[in-house]
Amino acid sequence: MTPNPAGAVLAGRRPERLPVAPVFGADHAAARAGVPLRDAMTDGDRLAGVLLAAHEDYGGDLLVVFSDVTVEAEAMGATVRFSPDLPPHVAEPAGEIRKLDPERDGRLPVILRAAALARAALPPDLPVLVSLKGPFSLAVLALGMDRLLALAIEDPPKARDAVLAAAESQEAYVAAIVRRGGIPLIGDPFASGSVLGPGHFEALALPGLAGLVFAAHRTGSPAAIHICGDLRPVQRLVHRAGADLLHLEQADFAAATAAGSVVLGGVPTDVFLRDEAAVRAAVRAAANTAPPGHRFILGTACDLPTRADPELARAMVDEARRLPWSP
Amino acid sequence: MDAPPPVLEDLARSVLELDREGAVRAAGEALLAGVPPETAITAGLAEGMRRVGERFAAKVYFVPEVLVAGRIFYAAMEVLAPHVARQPDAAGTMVCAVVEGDFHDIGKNIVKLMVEAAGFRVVDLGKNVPAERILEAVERERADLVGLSTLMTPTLDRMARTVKILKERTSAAVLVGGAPVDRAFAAKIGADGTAPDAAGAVALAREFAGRRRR
Ligand code: B1M
Repeated sequence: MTPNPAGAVLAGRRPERLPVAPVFGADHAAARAGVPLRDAMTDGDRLAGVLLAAHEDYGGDLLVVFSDVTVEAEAMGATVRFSPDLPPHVAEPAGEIRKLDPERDGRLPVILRAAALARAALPPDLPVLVSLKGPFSLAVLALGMDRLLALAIEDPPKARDAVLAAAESQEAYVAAIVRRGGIPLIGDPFASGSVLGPGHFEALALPGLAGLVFAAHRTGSPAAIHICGDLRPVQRLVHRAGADLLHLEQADFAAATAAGSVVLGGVPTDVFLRDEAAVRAAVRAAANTAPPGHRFILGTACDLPTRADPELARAMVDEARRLPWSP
Repeated sequence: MDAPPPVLEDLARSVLELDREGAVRAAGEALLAGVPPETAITAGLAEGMRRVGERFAAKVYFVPEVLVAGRIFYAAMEVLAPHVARQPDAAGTMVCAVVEGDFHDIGKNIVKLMVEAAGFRVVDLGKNVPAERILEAVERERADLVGLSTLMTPTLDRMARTVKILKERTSAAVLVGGAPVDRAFAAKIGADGTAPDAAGAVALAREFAGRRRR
């Protein structure tokens, strides 16, 4: 059997074919399986079930275990609202940041159970990335955006303390993910260059990201970071976090690989709400603009939209596998 | 023509430099110097917010800076507002909202801040707002304008439905925006206009409010 090309790339080897991965979360996987979102997001077996079913259908070279962005904030006491057809959102922030026990608190055990099941079900060299929130985004979701963003300017030491408290809590989650055989994928949407400038990124987002990457490395695991939106204003700082894999949207991929990371991305997610021709064209365009060398996994720039047509995810993988490739 | 009093520049600069104490102090100094509070608001504070918008567009400022500038604007307004002889007519009333199904409100909050700083009364309905609730607010507030925002492609349909209902049932001008919205889409769904950023939204709001007054 051919070795998994995404695993090869992450291990620093040349893959035998271009690795490809439509990235999706529980919302998409549950919707396509006809499972109510809330059920998939609150039950580890069902979460693993819908994710694995979508993975098997699409045939990507890696799997991301991702439920939604509110998991840790909810465990800290935020009120989270679920609705039938949308990912949940924070209706009322927790107002505080407290240290979580990933084996016990909120839905963290649900995610860890899904991670363990997914790991056991898939070939050992297929990377299973498990999503957790970056400390800055977790602090925003737990304390409220207005409060944290205003503190960032009006009382920077307090803002830094809040983010560091979030990072300390996430360290235990990183270790728990690695124990399940998952690779921590630190998602930090509020640290996007669409929201934060370099000054605040460096002061508030970078220390926590770097700390969590180091926490993963200490256990011998690689670590990944996902930031969507326009990364360019903060990209050189993101490289300093030392992640092995960067899952990015608007960014300079060549600079990221030159800085030593594998890049995952290239295909904008809005094409999955159009048609097959648009998806196939986007895959070819992504391959044409791929960074030099073999540090690239052709993936969706962010998660597949909830209602994306599964046919289009299959077309993405099929098109990537047709591309000419010289190992 | 007389040169503008230096305190107006102090007000604008304090907002721009995110200097809360400076802005509140300059507001007091403007009153002591006998500058009409209306002038201090429009030529001082609002001018500062306009410059903040320029820095945001140039990616010198980012979201935290704009939100904090907004807080400083309102802190200084609290000093000036009680001394305004007669509440000046707002440039117009805008009802703004993020459409149903979408919880992304950072962009809408920035648009709201800039439109308000430009002298409009803004009624903010928040995020994930159904069309019917927007319609109700437009009628209740006798709004001249509606500002709708969405960042997600799947919620463009809800934006279209909201615009249709508003155009059928009210005479308010409907402006739409957010990353997946472009001119072609705005025209297709019957919106009156779209802008790529907050400064553009202010210009459109002025244009449509002006047309309604004529
Ligand atoms: C009336 O006239 C006007 C005129 C101009 C107007 C206007 C109105 N409204 C806006 N404008 C314009 O002026 C503003 C100021 O200049 C501008 O506003 P913007 O809002 O564009 O800009 C802001 C100042 C800064 N930009 C932002 O705030 C958005 C940044 C990104 C990274 C983003 C963030 C931060 C978040 N997100 Co999400 N998020 C992404 C974004 C990535 C990207 N590529 O943009 C986007 C928007 N998110 C997306 C998704 C899918 C999601 N998000 C989700 C959640 C979140 C967070 C909570 C983590 C957070 C939102 C926090 C908040 N309170 O808003 C979920 C959505 C839940 C929901 N139902 O809403 C979730 C579904 C993820 C999930 N699986 O849970 C994607 C939408 C894809 C699509 N096209 O459909 C996305 C593009 C990321 C991606 N690449 O896939 C202009 O657009």
